[in-house]
Amino acid sequence: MTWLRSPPVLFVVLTLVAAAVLAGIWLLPQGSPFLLPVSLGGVVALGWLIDRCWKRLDEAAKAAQQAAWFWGGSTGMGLALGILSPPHGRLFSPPELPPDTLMFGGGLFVIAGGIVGWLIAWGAWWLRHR
Amino acid sequence: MKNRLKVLRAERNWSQADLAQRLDISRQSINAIETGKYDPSLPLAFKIARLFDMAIEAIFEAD
Repeated sequence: MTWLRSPPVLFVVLTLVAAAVLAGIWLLPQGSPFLLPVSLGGVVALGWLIDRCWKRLDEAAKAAQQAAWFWGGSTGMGLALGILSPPHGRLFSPPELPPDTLMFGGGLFVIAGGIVGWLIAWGAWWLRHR
Repeated sequence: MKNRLKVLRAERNWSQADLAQRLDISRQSINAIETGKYDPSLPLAFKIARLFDMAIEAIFEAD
């Protein structure tokens, strides 16, 4: 079952759970009193899953993750923030979109930047240590 | 840090995957340690030493 330790498998599982949590939140009607409990439940479930995934990793894999999040994640998020910052961000902000959609899209873009950076740095760490 | 992990493993006819399984770590980590690209933690070094029934300094050597 060592394939279960493989970061790509863990990444896919985490992405699916995160997508399920987001889908659950989106399915709630506007102003629903369940929004906060569902969001909190999702965060707790994701945290529990991440903790389990983390404990399955061996120490080299943990070192790779730490380096990848620190260097790749922060650089990727920084670049994404730079791209979205005024005045460049206006290129990606069609005025016909409502502010909440733009805000959510911006958040997703920054997270996506962090994930892309993490992926590159994670691959680079293993290439350097093979 | 240099180490004799590859030699010790070869003496026992173990593959990297065999050693990884015995130490409960990934094959990639074994490869990284063998090539000297990754230095194991003290607990893992003790685990390796116990597995080969040797002292840590008989397996690992500072550069």
